[in-house]
Amino acid sequence: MPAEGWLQTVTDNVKDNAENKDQFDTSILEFLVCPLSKKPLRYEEKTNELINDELGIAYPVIGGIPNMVPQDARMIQKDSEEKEPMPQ
Amino acid sequence: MAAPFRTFASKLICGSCRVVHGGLRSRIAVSSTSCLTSVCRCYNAGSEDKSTHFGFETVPEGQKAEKVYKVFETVAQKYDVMNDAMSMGIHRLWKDALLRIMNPQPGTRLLDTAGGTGDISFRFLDYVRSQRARQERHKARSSQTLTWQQIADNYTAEEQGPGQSKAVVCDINKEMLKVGKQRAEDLGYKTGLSWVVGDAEELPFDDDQFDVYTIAFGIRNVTHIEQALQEAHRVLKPGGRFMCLEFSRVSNPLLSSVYDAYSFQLIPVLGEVIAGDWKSYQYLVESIRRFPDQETFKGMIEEAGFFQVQYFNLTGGVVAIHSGFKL
Repeated sequence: MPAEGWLQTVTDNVKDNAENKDQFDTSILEFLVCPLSKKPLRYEEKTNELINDELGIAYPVIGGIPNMVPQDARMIQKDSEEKEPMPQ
Repeated sequence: MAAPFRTFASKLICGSCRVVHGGLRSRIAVSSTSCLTSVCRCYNAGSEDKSTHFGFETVPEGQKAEKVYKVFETVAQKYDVMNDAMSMGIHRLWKDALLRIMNPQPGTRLLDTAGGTGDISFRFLDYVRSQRARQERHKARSSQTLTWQQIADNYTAEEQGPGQSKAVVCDINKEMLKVGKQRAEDLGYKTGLSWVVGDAEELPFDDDQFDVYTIAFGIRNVTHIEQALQEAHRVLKPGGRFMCLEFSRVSNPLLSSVYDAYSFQLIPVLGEVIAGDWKSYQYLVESIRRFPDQETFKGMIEEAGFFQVQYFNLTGGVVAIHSGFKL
């Protein structure tokens, strides 16, 4: 993909996420869990994702709809671990 | 994105089986190997040793979900029009019948699995609303002369209400949900409705959460039906009801031959003309014939731990509603 096209996609994603942020209804977290561990999730407003801290998986929320399919989820990268340092 | 996650997940699962296995919390006794296979299934698209059917085709298990996804991604926009065209509008009556049997009362919490474009959830919300109105009329009729105190009490009681009814639409297909959410906005459904992308075999919901679980014209597309049934059982509250609306077996030979001719000769043509998609609709009719008949499916539901399992044939068995309770 040419660089411009890639940039376009990134900007679109960012824009989409910003627009969708306030649409997510957090009351659903009362019974929504990670499909793998069946444990509660944390909503991260900044990235508009639902996070399973234990397994390090982030599920995206797109258009106010949480996508809870593990194949579509993101592994939380090392650089975001500074928030929660791994026990040495 | 998917590839690194897959590697990670297989490491996670194979490295620490116990964590994930414990997390599954299967109530039904499953051997740890088969349980593990079911967990690994989603990450391991290359498990070619087991095969399943995709319509009349036989495909490796790992490919079915992807193929089904493509079918519904393609037909999402035309799904509702096609349902009307193919069933001559009768699918509406089938869905109405499901709601009549369900008879949900205000305060019910529904999980509408494979709920895609919202047909069942919209009907559910309408039904509950009409039930509520009926109850209120009944109350008004029985108490015509009220004191001011009673009137004040009524208002506070109304505010608290018998708990909000809620429908959660869960579908694995993002395109179908998008269409559904848009429809909800167009039709003016605002409260009591949530949309979640999720897999019927790995539901993203906590145990014992729903009063009713429905899956309408969805379970036939699931790769591991037993797994979906177990998940249904897990998320239902004790006393909760499993309901499935699905194509089934026609027993009357005359109706059966008419139905066969209609589905194999006409439906793919309709699919081509209306949605420009022969193959998806050929898959549809083939997958219908592959699905187990009424009694076999009843047995599968019982196997998953449901009680009082029964079924109702509609239109001579073209479709059937199966129902069972979690006790």
